Amino acid sequence: MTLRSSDPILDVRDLKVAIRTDDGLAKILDGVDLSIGRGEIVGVVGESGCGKTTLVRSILGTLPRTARVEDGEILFEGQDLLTLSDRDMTRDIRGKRISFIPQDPYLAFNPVFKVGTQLLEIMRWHGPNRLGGKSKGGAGSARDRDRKRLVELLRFVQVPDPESCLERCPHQFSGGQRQRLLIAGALACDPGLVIADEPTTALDVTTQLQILKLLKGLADEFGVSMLFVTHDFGVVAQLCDKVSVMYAGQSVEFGSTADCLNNPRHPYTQKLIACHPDRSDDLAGIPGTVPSPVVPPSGCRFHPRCDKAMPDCALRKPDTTLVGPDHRVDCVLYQDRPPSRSAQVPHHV
Amino acid sequence: MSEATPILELRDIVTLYGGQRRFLRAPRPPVRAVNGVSLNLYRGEILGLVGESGCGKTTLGRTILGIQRESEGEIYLDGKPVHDLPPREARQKRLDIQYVHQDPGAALDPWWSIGRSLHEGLVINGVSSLAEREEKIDRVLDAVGLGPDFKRRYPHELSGGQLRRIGLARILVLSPRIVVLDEPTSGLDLSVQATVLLLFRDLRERLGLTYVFISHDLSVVQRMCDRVAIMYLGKVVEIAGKDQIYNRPTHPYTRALLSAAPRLQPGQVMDDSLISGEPPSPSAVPSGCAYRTRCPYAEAACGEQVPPMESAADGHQVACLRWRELPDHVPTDAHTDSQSRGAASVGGT
Repeated sequence: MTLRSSDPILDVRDLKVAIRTDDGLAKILDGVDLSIGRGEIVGVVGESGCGKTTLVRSILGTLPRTARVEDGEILFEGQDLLTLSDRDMTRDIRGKRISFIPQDPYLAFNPVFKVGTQLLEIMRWHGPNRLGGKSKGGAGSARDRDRKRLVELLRFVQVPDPESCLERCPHQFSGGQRQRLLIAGALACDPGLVIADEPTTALDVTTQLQILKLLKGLADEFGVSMLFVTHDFGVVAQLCDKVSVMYAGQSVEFGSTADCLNNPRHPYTQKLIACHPDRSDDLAGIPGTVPSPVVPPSGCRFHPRCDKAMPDCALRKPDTTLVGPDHRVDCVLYQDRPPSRSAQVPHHV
Repeated sequence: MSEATPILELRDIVTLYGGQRRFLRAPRPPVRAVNGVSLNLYRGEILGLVGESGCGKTTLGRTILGIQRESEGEIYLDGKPVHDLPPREARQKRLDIQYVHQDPGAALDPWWSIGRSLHEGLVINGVSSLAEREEKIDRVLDAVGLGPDFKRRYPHELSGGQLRRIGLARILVLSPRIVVLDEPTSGLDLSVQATVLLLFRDLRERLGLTYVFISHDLSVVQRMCDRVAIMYLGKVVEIAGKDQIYNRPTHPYTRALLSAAPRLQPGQVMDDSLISGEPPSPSAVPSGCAYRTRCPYAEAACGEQVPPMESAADGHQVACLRWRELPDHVPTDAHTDSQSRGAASVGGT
């Protein structure tokens, strides 16, 4: 397919996820597409409730019990993660080949165990030669080798005094330091993909810059790909190579960061970027609110708030259209056969 | 503007927290959360108060309000002294100043209807007539863009943006002249943030309000404020008009903050040469200039003398011993021209 980058490490195709709620079936994700090439940092941006976290949880296989994947595939290195059993996901994928950096470094650690114990546990579970594998022998026990590797990683993420910090408890570290420890933990088993869910929202800007710089260096150094979930376009501009914009469970635009930020094509992306204080003088906002996932609008989910909406928009979900090299938009405006202008409906809020 | 009498004047405000005498041990010294702040606030302006977490922004806001008692210093409201009073009297004298809490969801009682929460402030402030209260509340709800039917609703039924409006309405019923907004947009989505900021601007025009705008988001501050004060560990290190701060930042800390702030500009170089480490604990502030431990331009003299506030230009004050010798700041395009869409890179300083 021409729409996809060649040999992506992660390829999410037309993912549909629904969650049972008291009010009915909430269609949280409705046809999400995403591909991440090797060594790329891809940002997923969207407002709250657009399904960013559900997307991450689908990839990691940690959806709540009430959720069900209705359709789609998640191909990781050519393997469909949705067909794997929970046991295989835990043993081979999660924490090992796909690792996760959580949002809040204050909540991610167990306060009563030493940092070293918690980080080494990841390696004990997932490292080589575990769970019945053969020991390669060599210098020292597996535990010693893990420890040595962890200290190296901690040195890379610039935690001061890595040897002794393994013996300390989480509360003895600042937020920025804890985030560094978590990054070391995420790298512990040489993952192919790191998923970071708003890892810098709890941090100050100066610390945030240092962490972002570290993540960028890590992508270059270790060649890992990264999925970076955020709502901050500024952070995307600093860090990401590519960006995927989501609205109400649908991916609306995907392209290089420069294309999407400087030349957004989808009406939603255009409006959202125009809300950023760096761009807008009049701070207009977007009229209306994000629709409920239980009774979503038909067709393109943005059409009730879109001032370029046409009758077609409500009828069916727009096809993905290529508007530039590696720049995809899901909007009727850019489809091959543009509907006649007279068919435009007046905008209503 | 600088010739006019300030509506609020702070002189060398010091606010202490904690401190404890202990049996047979050295007393625990108090934390100087606000450590000698002098500010003038002029009628009708929006003064931004910017700094990292723990720098004393919120404490300064609470001290202005009178909830937190100042330990030293003088406060003048309309030229009349209102300092050195017990908390209850201090509030009585400062009814013209009101405070909007950081998280309105947490500030509202979940068991109380919005109407009851709105009535409470008026009842406490001695408006005994129900009809009068109802009339005021309806007027204010209309001003913040919500209908009277919101009075019957409960906090959990409202969205983040609506809660901000209620938080604002709750103090507007008391007809304040100065409003302290503490992180008024943290946790809001971009499109909602834009509408809330627009509302603040609009209300300032209509009701003749003066704002103290506490924030850590430099993009929002640039869009909203007339003057900006940069705080670091309890002290104001630089205060100037918005354009001076963003185009000609003088203090090394201001420069570091500006270079760290994520901007909507793809391809920016992550330059952390101006930043090192994390802020020291407010209970162990370095001697002399508090910023010297992280400052790339620090000298021995910086540790010996607390830098005085010096005037660098008209209305531009800076507290740095070496501000005359520092190299010129090369701003990014985003700082000078927020409309720029070019992928220009950050110049090194």
